Amino acid sequence: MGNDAITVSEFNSLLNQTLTFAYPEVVVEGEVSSFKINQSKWIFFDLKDEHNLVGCFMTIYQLKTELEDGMLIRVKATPQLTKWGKFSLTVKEVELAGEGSVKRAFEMLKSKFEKEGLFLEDRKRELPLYPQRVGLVTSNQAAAFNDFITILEDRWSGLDVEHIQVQVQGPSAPDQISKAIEHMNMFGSYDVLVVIRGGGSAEDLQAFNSEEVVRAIYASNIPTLVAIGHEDDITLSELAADVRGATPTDAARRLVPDKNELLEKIGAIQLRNFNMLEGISAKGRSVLDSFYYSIEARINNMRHTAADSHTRSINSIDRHMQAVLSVIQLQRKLLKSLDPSAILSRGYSITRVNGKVIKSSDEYISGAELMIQLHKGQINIKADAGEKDAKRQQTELRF
Amino acid sequence: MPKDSKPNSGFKYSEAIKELQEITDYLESSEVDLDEAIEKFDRGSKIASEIENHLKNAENKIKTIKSKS
Repeated sequence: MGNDAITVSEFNSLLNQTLTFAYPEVVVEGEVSSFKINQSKWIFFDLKDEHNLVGCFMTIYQLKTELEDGMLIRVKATPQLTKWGKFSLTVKEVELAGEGSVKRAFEMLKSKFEKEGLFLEDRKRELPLYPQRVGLVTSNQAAAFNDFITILEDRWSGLDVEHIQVQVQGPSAPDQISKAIEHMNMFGSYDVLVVIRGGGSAEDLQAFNSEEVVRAIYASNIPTLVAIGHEDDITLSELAADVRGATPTDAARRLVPDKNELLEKIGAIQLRNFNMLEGISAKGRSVLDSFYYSIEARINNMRHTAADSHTRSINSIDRHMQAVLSVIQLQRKLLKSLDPSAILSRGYSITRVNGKVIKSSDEYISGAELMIQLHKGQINIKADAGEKDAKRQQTELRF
Repeated sequence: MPKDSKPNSGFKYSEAIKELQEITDYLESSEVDLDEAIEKFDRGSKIASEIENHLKNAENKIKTIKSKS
């Protein structure tokens, strides 16, 4: 052994350089054991298989999934010798491997979110009936995108869809999806935010069970509609959404109404409005009709009244005239009876002295000429004063 | 409703349908003035044809924004 010995630090450094050169990044699969979190930020666990074991280290910020002992995971890591001489893997990413691990992580996170109230029904908002602007987070490389757009096309018109292209599976998917949701909330004015992905294995859908995506959906100010995988796949993102679509196609149906149905409905509304208007107009006509009827009835009534009154007037005039006529006839008879010539015809005479009718012999002036008017003709006679009394007697006898 | 009905910008289905519903409610109410009913019916017909026109003619616009991350 000579003087070419190196220090421990130099050795560790050399070894780390060699490791980095030989294995800049390794992906190792194994079962988690001795999982622990120190000071709420450092994570330590071992990865093991049937025969061997390797220590792992990472920060809590790099861990995007729930972990516990017994889970099968894949880690992307860099091998490193620490200054304490301990060999470990510095982990950058953790991916769940196998259905069992995925299910277990899902249950753990679900239970955590339930306790926090992320899935509560009473905080879920309704989607607008007729959305105009739609934010869409998905990958346009998948069939889900085309299915969704096709159904929208069939059902509705005039939508503004802004789509953010993201990866929907793989390690960078959770980050891209959650950032897209945050971006839309910050910069867009959308009526609805839609997150969709087609069917796949439980691992493929894993991004939608990641804490960051679920929290981004939960925190969205825009109402959310999320449809991931097939009907039976229920992801935590869907549970946190305001509305869940069973599939991307179902999401499109839930997002917009069917225009053909609406056209029919509008036709029915217009028909109803027309019928109502007809009803109102008929009601108006019937009011007018009854008005006319009432006027007509009044006029007829007045006519009858007038006719009655007319008849009564005529009758009354007739009666009056009859009365007048009978009075006239009576008076005519009376006048006729009073006519002096009629009395003379019965043998009476009128005696006048100097044109004045005398009714008594006292009125006779001796020597005056008497003018006696008979029925036919008159006699003028003279009488003397001595015979006055005798004549008076004669006159009285004659009369 | 704005006359400028560039598809996707001016026309709002929700407002049009709401107004149409209000007209129906008015026509169904008991206190209705015939002149006003005719006026409202005409307005309803106009809205209905506008909705129909948009449903039949307006296009869905799809714009893709690339993710920054």
